[in-house]
Amino acid sequence: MFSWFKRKDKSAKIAKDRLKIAITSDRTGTEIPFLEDLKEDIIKIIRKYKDVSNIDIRKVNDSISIEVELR
Amino acid sequence: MSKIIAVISGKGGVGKTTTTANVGLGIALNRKQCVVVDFDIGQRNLDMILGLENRVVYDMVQVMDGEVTLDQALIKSKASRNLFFLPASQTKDKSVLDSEKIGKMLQELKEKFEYVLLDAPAGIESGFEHTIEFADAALVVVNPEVSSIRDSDRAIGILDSKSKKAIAGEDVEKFLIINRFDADMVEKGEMLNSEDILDILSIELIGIVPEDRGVIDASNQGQPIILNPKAEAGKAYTRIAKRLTGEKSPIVEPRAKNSGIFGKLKGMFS
Amino acid sequence: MKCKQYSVKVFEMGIESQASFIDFIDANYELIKNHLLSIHGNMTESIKEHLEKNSLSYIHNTALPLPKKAAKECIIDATAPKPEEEVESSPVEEIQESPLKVQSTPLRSGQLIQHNGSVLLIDRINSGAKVAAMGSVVALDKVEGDISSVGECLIVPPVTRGNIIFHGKKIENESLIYPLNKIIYINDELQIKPISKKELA
Repeated sequence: MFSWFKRKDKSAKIAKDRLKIAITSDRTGTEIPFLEDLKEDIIKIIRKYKDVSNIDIRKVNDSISIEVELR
Repeated sequence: MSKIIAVISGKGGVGKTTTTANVGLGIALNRKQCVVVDFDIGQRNLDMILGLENRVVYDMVQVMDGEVTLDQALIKSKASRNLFFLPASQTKDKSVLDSEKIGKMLQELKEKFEYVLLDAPAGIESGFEHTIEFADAALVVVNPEVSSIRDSDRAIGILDSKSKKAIAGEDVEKFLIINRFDADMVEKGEMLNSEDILDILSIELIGIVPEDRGVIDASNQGQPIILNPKAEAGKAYTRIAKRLTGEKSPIVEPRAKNSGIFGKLKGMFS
Repeated sequence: MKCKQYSVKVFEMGIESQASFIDFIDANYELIKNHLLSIHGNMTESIKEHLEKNSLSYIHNTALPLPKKAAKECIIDATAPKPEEEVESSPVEEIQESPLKVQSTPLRSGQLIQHNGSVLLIDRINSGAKVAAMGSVVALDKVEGDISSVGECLIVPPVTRGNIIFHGKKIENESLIYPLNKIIYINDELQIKPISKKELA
């Protein structure tokens, strides 16, 4: 009977541990932080000179590649 | 002949991902080559249900963009060597989905696997439309509850009008899974029964999965419930996988714990 | 000078009163929204606003050149529709211009049938689905969605969930008591009569 209680406790704890790792990697991994804000800022700046129709930002290995489509 | 099966529902939270994971594993345990693909861009969760989240290195979008090969991105399941898994990308940008690229990738998957299960996103927006575009068949997951049924009806309507197969005038096979079925509530008349649901949705029933607390326990541990031989939900998924791969298996309607006169008397005192 | 020539569907209507006109617009929006409205009568500011609010295109008190084929006359009066007259005046044109649309599979939530003629629904119409027909509508299976018709008649089984609208008037679901109900105007009076499947054929 005690092992049953222990097992229940364990599964929630297992979940918590797994989540901590998964979310941390979600937040820092291959993602670019502040991606949306970055896009907006870049569009604002370029719009001062030329009209922008689309913008694509990707992480390629250790650099960021930014492709801006002009109208 | 390989089949692409989209797992859809319309409404979110009804059990698409759990169903994809368990039915996929069930097919693999039946010794058929199966891959499950997480099509929920930006909301990766099939990996967690399968307990493979710490093995994710590359995702579906990187494969479609040609950054990595399919073999590099595919992850083998711990529970069966016949089950593989392709993770979703975690970027929010849904515009990365491109029909041509998706078609190419799915074609490659069909060459490697007999069953390709696609875990669709909730809703009926572009992500969903891209998931059903190349579907040969669909598993429609529904809860015995009005908004789930209505949303599924909507999703079926879109499947029947926007999938490539439907546009070509062919029939997309549709199978209904009633998930989180509570036999006690149905018996008391507090929940829609399978007949009611089938009447409205008018598609073939392939299984009824009972409400089972073990499902949460299972996802906590990253061990799909089909692996628990004692769990009722797990048994239901096993039967569904059998039927999907062509074996005959009777549809079992879960029975109320307090059915019959003595059962009802017992129920009054509990 | 750049020009473009194309045909457009016209819906001609007369204003009897501001209230009834606005009610009619609201009740039949699905039917008329893709038409150019040719409106005759006293156009008030409220009516103008209402048309603008619903993005409806219209011309007012303007005579239009008639096409070579006589325009299908559809006398839909906001107060007293006379569908029997309409059938008598051009029975042949009705067949040519408005073929029967048959829906043999369930009409699912979110789907819309908008048809210039009559509609026959063989399978059910689910909650969230809509049918808007210029002609009659016959529904043979469960109706949980919305049906709007400005045709000769509307035939439905008892309805628990959907909205049935005939010539702009919402029919109370409680009044659909027969296994198959025929909704029709007889001498300007709305009537609901029982009809058997044999009679339909």
